[in-house]
Amino acid sequence: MRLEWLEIQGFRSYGSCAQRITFHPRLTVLSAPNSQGKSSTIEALEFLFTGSLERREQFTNDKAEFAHSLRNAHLASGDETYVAARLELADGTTRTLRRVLTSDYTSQTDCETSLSLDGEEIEDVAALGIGMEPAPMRLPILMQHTLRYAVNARPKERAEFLKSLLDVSDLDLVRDEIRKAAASVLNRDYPVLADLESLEDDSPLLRGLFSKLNELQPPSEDQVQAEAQRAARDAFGELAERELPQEDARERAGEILAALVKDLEEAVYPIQDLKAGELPDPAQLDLGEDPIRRYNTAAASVEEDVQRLTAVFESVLGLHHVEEESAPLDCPVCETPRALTADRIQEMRRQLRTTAEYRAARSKCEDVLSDYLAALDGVLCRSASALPDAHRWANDKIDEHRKVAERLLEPKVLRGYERSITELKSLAGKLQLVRDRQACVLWLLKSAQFRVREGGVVGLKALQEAVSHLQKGYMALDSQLEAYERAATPIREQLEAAVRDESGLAPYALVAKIAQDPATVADELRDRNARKLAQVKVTAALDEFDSARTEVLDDKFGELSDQVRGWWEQIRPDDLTAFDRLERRGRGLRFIDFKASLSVRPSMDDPEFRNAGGIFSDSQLNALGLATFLARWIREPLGFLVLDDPVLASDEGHMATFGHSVVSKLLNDTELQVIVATYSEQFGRRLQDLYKHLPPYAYSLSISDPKEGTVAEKVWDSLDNMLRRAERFAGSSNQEMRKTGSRLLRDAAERFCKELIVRQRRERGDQCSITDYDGKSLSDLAPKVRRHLTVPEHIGKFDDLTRALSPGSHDDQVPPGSELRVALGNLRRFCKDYVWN
Amino acid sequence: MRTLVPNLSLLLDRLDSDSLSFDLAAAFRDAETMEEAQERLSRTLEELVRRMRSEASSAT
Repeated sequence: MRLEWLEIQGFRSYGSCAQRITFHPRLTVLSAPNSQGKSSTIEALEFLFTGSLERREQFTNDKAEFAHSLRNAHLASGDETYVAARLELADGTTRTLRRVLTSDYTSQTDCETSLSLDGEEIEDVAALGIGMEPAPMRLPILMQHTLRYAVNARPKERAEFLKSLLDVSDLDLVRDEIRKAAASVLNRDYPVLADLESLEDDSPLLRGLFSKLNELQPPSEDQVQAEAQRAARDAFGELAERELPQEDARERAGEILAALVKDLEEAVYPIQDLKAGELPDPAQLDLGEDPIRRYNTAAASVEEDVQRLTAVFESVLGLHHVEEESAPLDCPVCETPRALTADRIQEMRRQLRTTAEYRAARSKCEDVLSDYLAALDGVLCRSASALPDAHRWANDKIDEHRKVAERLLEPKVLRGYERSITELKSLAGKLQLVRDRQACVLWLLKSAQFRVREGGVVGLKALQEAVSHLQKGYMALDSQLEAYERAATPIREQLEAAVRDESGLAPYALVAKIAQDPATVADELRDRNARKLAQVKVTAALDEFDSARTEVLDDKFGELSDQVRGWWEQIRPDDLTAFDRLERRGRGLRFIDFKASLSVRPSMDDPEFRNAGGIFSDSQLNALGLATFLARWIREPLGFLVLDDPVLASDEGHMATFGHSVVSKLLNDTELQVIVATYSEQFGRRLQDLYKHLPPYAYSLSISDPKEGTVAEKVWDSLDNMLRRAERFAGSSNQEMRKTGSRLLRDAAERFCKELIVRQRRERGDQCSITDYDGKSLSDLAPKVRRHLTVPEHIGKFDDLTRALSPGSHDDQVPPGSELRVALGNLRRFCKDYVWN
Repeated sequence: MRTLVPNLSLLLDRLDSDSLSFDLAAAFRDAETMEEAQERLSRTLEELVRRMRSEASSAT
C-alpha cells in the first residue's frame, strides 16, 4: 500500500482550509520548524487509520490532558474536522479513506469518529488488510514517543511486544485450541464410577468390588457381571442374614438384592406411593362423530314403507324381462296393468340403493359406539392407576409418614411435601369428577346403541356435550397431575437419598444396580481408561509442541536480531559499543534482553557483552529504537514508512549518516515508500540533494496565522523558491517569525554561495556537486564567493549580507525587518547577476 | 486469503510427522475457519480415544 495524498482539515494545528500533501512513490520530505504542524501531520495519518492517538492511549497516565485536543481550537463551529487519504493498494487499485471527527476527546471519554472507504461507511481498516495489532506501534509510523518503546518498555511488555512482532501468537492460539479441545473430548462424566468412588470409603463391600473391577484391564461385561453378582450375593447375606437359594445365586442375585433394598427403603418410607404415572393420551377420548352423523342422515331418509317394500322391489327388479324392457309392463306381484313404467323402475332402483347405504352407515355407527365404549373403559381404568398410591392413604397413614418425612427432609423441602400431600386430595377429587362425567357419557352411549338397533336417530348433540364435558375434566386432571409430579420429584429424590443415607442401603443399592446393568460400568471403566491414556499422550504432544514453538521463536529471534543489527550498523557504523543480539533470559519467554557488545577495537573482536538498556547512551538507545522499528516494518512491510525526526536534534551528528546510509538502503533494498519528517530545513534539503535523481517531493509546513493553521507548501528546492519562502517570514513584525525568516534567508545565501562555487569549478572542468559543501556555513563559504563577485560594490553588499545573516548576530537579537528586507533584495540581485544568468 | 495460522508450516517442519503433536497441529492446516479446525481437532482426539480403547482390548 502506498499513500498518494493526504488531506487534512481542522485537525490539531490544521485550520479550516483543507491542506493536501501529495506523496512521492519513494521519498517525501516534510520540513517544519518546531510547533509548525509536523507532528500534527504525522498524527493525522495515525488518526486516519486508528481513530485515536497512540500518545494518549499508551503513553500518558492522564488521558484528561488530551481533552478537546483533536479539533483545532480556532475552528468555526460549522467546519468539519477530517483526515482523508488516497491509497494505492497492492493490487494496483486506489481507494479513498476518510475519517471525520464527530466528537472530540473529553476528560472522561474517548473521541468518536466516522470512517468511510470510497464514500461507504466502514467499521475499521481491516477491509484494507491492515491488522491493528500489536499496540503500540500498530502502524509503520515512528514518532518521538514511540522511538524507544521496544527498548524502554517494562520487561513483560517488551517480551509481549517483541513476541507479537515475531508473530508467533498464532501458535499460542493453536496450543490453546488443542488444550481446550482435549478438555472437551477427554473429560467425561462417569456417573456409576463417581457413585462408586464416593461410597467406597465407607463400605468394605464396595471397596472390594471396586478394587476387583480396577484390576480388570480392560474389564469385559461378563467379568463385571460376575464380580457384581458375587458382591450382590454377599450383600444379600449381610442384609437378609441368610444366603440366596442356589438356583437364584448366579444370575438373579442383583435383581433380588435390588428388590430387597427397595423393600427395606419402602419400609422406612413408601416413596413409590408418591410417584404418579402417566395418564393415557387424551386423543383417545375423541368421539368419531362423522359415522354417527352419516347414520342419522341415512336413518332419517329411509321411511318405514321403503323398508317394507324393499323385498318386493328386489324381487321385481330381479326378473330378467323387467330389467330389459323399456315399454310399461304389468306388475308381476299385484298384476296391475302397465304399472311398471321406466320412471317407476328407476325410482325402485334409487330406493334400493338408499337402503343399502343406510345399512352400511348403521353398521359403522354401531362399531364407533362400541369402540368408544371400550376406549372409555380403558382410559378410566388407567387414569385411576396413574394417580400416586398415596392418594388412597388414610389419615393415620398420612400422619405416620409425615413424622418420618419431618425427620428426613430439610424444612424447606418439608413445606413442599405438605403441599404435595394436600394436592393428592385434590387430585382424587378431580379423578372422581372424571368418573362421574364418564358415567354420564356411558349412559348416553348405551342409549345411542339402543336407538341404532331400533333404527332411530341418535341424539348426537347431547352425546357431544357429555364427551366435551368429560374431556375438559380429563384435561384438568392431566394438568394437575403434571404439576404434582413436577413438585413431588425433588421431594422423592431427597427422600430416597435420605432414606438410603439413614438406612445405610446406598452401597447395596449400587451393588444391585451394577449387577443388573454390568454393561454400563464396564463401558465407563473402559472409556475412562482410554481417555486417561489419551490425556497422557496429549500432554506429551503439547510438550513436543512447546519445544517446536520455542525453536520457531528462537529462529525468528535470530532473524530479527540479524535484521536489527543490520540496521544498527547502518545508523551507527563506527560505535565501539554496539547492538549485538536479542536474547531470551533463561528458558522462558517472559524476559527478552537487548544485548550490547563492547569492544576496544574497531574490528569489534573479543567484545564484552552487557544489557544494552544499562550501558547505551540516550543517543544509542534512540538508534536502537530506530533499528528495531526498521527491522520490524521491513519484516512485515505495509508499503509505506513514516519517520518523524528519526534522529533527534541533540543527535545532529548522526543526521548525515542517516540521510546517506539508512535512507539509501531503504530506497535501494526495499520497495517501501519513505516519508521523512524533520524539524531541520537543512536536513530536509540535504535529503532532496542526495536523492535528486528521484527527485523527492518536499513540503514545508508553517503557521503564519493561528486561525489559518498549518499551511503545507510544496517546496521546489530551487534558490528562487528558497528566497520566496524566506520572503514570507522576513518582513513579519513577529520576532519568532522574523527569526525563521532570517534563518531561511541565511540558508538561501548559503545555497547561493554553493551554486556559485560549483558553477565556477565546473567551468574550470572540476567534477563537483552541491553536496560536496554539505555542512559548510555561510562564513565558511563567503571567502570563496567574494573573489567571484565581479562588480566592486557587490563585495561590500555581500559582506554586509553575510554579517546580517551569520549565526551569533541574531541568536539572541533578531535583525529588524528592514535589515532583512535589504539583505533579501541584495541576495536576489546577486542570484540574477551570478547564478541565474 | 489470509492463512489461519501463518507460522504453522514452520512448526510442522519441526515436529515428527508420525507424532500426535503433528496430527493435532495439522488440524489447522488448510482450515479456512477456526470452527473447521476445531472440528478436525475433535475428530483427531476421538480417533485417539478409539485407538486407546482398541489397543487396550487387544492387549488382553
